[in-house]
Amino acid sequence: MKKIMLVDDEKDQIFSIKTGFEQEYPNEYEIIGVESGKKCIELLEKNVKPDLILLDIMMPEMDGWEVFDKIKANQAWRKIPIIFLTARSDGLAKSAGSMIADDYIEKPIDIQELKIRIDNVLKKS
Amino acid sequence: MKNGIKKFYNLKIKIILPVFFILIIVFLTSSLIIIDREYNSAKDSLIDNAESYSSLSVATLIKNYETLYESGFYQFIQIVDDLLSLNKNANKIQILNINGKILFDTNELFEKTKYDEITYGERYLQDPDLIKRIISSEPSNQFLEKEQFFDIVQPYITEFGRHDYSIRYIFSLSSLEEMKQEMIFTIFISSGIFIIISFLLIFFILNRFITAPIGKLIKSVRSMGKGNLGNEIIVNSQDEIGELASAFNKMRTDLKKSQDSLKEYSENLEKLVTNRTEELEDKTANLEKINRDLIRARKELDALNKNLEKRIKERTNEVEQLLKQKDEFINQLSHDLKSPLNPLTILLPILEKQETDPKKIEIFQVLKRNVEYMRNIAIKTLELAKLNSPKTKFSLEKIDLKDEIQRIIQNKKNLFDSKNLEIKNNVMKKIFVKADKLRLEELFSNLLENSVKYSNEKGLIILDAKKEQGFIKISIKDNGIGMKKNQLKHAFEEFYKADTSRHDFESSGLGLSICKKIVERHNGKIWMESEGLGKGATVFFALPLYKNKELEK
Repeated sequence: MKKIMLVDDEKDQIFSIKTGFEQEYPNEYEIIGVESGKKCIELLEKNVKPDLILLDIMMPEMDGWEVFDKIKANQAWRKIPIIFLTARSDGLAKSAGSMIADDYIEKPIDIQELKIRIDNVLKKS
Repeated sequence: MKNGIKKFYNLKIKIILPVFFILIIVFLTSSLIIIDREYNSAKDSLIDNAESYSSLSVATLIKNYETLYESGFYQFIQIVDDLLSLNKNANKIQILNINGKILFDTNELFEKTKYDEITYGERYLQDPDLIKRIISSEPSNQFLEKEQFFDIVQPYITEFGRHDYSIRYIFSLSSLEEMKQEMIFTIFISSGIFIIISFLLIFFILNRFITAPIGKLIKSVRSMGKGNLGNEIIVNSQDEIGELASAFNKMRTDLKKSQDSLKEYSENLEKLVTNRTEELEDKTANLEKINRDLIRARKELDALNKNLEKRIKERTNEVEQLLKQKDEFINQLSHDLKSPLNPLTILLPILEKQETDPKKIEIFQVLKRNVEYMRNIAIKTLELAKLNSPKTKFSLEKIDLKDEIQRIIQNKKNLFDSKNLEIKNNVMKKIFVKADKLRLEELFSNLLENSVKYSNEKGLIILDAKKEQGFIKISIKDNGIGMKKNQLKHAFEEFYKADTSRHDFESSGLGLSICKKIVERHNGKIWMESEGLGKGATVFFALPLYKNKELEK
């Protein structure tokens, strides 16, 4: 079972995606919902090692970009694939995001499409 | 000018010197000829005189000698002296017998003593030639020019033909020489005077008729050269110089005429220039005034401009701030609108699947449809807002049109299959457009979705492209429900729907507006054509062709 860390400040977002996967593709993924960038880093420091991170950009305190930088700056974590999952659709975020991360997905999204793209990234890594 | 004078004097000398030499030569030769002739005639007359003198005096001398020499010596020498004085050239007389013995010599006359034969011996002639002449009964003469002497030997023949005595007369030629020298002297003097007079005469003539007129001419020409054309050259002679002078006069009058006209012209010109200068000065003054005004105005304008610039900067900053705020607002709105839709789009299908009650299933379907509509509206509105923002940058690149369309068709396969549509990509290979890839995909997606929506079951959609003057005209043709003419005009307006009465959940009314924006942002044009309702519709749009030059850049 693949371990996927979902970083989003909105609890509803975490719940819906988690529920979606549980219902549509039971026992395929273990979704770890994290409510802030800070908590994400903390978990990683506690040796929680996900196979993939779904990262929201617009978050209070520590935003997605910062979290991305911290992960990529760490020797132990930098190989973890990251997909930006965000409602931001402005050109800058889209082009920058799709350039640096493994994928960039805009909300709202079908759970089916999300699965396909996650699987693609996992296959590559 | 100095050079001219020098040459002029040279000319004078050139004329006078040869004349002078010719004169001298002529006079010298003529004088020599005259002297020679005179000398000869004098000599001839001297000889004639001497001959007649000797022939006349010979008898008298001999008779007196025979009678008086012994008895009256003094009387005899008196007679000889008298005879000698008859011819001023007669210098010496010798009485000789035919043996060559000198009987009497005029030396005795000068010494007043008889020659003492007993003491000094008899005297004889030594020269044999002379003795021969003495013996001859014919008179003879001889010139001894070296000694300046001339002698005549005259024989004395008696009535009875007896020849006992001969007399030798010696004449001095010094008078001839004197005469010669005198002549040379006088001739030289007179010829000298003549030469001087003729020289002066020539000089005068030269001066009077050539030099002076030429000098006058030169003076006039010189004054002409200085620009004085007023005075006529007065040369009265009718000769070549006169002609020259009149030619000069002609030239002078012509020159004066042209000078006058030139003067007039230059005066006019001066006047004109003065007028123009005045005008110019006026204009310059005007211009200066205008310039000053302009400078003042410019200063004022500068001040205003600075003020304005400052204000524009302030306003620009404000506007920029506002635009930034707007962009931030749109992004925030995008996030805020789209994020809440996410749980709905994910969770509603799950609930719907689990539900078995048909009534509740219908409720879920209504909810799902409305969520989809909301999502559609949110995405499209944000998209349009982005396209309207000048901050949104397009990254243009070279795109192979046929390949790109093929890829989009492949991605939309499910969409076409849902209505069992046939789709044809008739676009030629190797047509390249200059476009933003993501926007181009959006454009084709929107247009194809639109065509699918208005196509009937098992319809046909044809894509084609045609090159036209740096652009490529792309067409998407369907054989669907078509459009009325008045509908065509509004097709690309925001929130326009062909059928306003129908609440179309699948259409936001923004799709074609977004397409129009994308095409326009590529400097292109989009329009729709339809034969009418039920006859299908074709969307055309033009995009700029990719030029190889740009690739090189």
